[in-house]
Amino acid sequence: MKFLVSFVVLLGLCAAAGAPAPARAQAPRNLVKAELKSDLRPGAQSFLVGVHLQIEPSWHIYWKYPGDAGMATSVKWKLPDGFAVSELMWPTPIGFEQAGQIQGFGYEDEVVLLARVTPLPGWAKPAMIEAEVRWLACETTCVPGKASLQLQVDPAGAADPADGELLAQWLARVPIPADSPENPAKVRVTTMGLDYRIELSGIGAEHVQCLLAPADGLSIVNNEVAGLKVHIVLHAMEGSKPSNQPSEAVIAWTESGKPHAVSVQLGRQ
Amino acid sequence: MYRMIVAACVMLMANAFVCAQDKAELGKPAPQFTLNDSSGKAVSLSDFSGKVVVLEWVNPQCPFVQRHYQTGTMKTLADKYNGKVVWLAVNTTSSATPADNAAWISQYALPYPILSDTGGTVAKAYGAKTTPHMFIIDQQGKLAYRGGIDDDPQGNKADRTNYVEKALDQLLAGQTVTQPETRSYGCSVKYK
Repeated sequence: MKFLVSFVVLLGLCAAAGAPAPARAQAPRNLVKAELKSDLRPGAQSFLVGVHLQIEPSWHIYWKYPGDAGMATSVKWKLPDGFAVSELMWPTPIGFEQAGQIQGFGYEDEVVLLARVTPLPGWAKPAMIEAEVRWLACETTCVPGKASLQLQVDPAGAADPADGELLAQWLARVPIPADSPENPAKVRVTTMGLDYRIELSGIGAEHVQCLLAPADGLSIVNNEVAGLKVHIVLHAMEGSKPSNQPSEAVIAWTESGKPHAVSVQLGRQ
Repeated sequence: MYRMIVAACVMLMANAFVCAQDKAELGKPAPQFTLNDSSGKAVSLSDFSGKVVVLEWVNPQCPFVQRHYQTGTMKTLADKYNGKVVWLAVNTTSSATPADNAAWISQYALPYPILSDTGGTVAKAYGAKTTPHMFIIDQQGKLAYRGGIDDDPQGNKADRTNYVEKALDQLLAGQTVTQPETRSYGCSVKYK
């Protein structure tokens, strides 16, 4: 490891001796492999598309709210005329804390970011779905990456069943809205300005976690979980315009070994 | 109380000291510090009293920093306010040597020093979390801005707002800074 560090420093010095060296910013190897997959079945009214990101061991990429540092992974879709795509669905991330109490949220090993595509009614010819994906991969250093992905979808054909299964597995990890009938927990939210108390009941939850994505212009002052109670305090950054978007708290827990996650929208009051 | 606070200003390292009770707060006196530049010369915040000071957290190995140096964001701003504003870059990366900082200065012909804070004392006092992370201290020595360099984390906006430029223009015109706090972005500060 020491050798590696000296080597990197040496590389840095060599690069610094010459003109600006863009090669330094490049990854020595492919840290993230990106593929576009679907669960299309013939005659389906809509289908899922997923960006499957496989991440080099010990590296991570980021959630929609990266935390104190990092950069959100982004997906920009390009669809045929008349096709519609949902908002991106993000599976529950993991939290990591780096030295200096720097909190981050993201994914290790692999993740599938999902969206639901509704094709043009009466769609009859194969069509191309494109995604421009950007990420920041970090370990002790960070390396940005991007990929332009394409997937041909055929209304008469069907996706590989293995892809459909993979997408279903990751869809199950996307938090469900707290008011969804599928949510096994009763969720009570008390709001006072930017102070929120969330209480879960009716479940035997273990390992309760709260992953918090504050709206633009807000920062996190407190995010504390005690049993089935979460206490969140946000801070409005001075001079910033209040955002119309609510903040989002993803509350994740396990019950009898099974992971659950619900999404709670936090507005201002 | 004041004497106690002064007494709490302890030498923490041979090349870095900061008042231990200090924690940067907007509108309050900015934490004092003394750090060495890449030639080993001690630089203190108090050397610049009465002047507007910009602190820029830097790490030459961070792609966000590399992008802002390749596009000249920091140097262009420092040049624009040359003579009116003191610009100090701080590198807290635990593995960064003064030679690394000197190499970065010469690569980009920087008109400002890079101070070594490998112990992280000053970064913690200011609450620096990312590279870049920007702080502005006003003529009265108070913290007037903390946050990002601009509103463009991905670096692909055609029309971006440079928060530091906006704040400096307001401070130099004797106005209040209308947006003193924004979300910073970048790599995490590589603390020890």
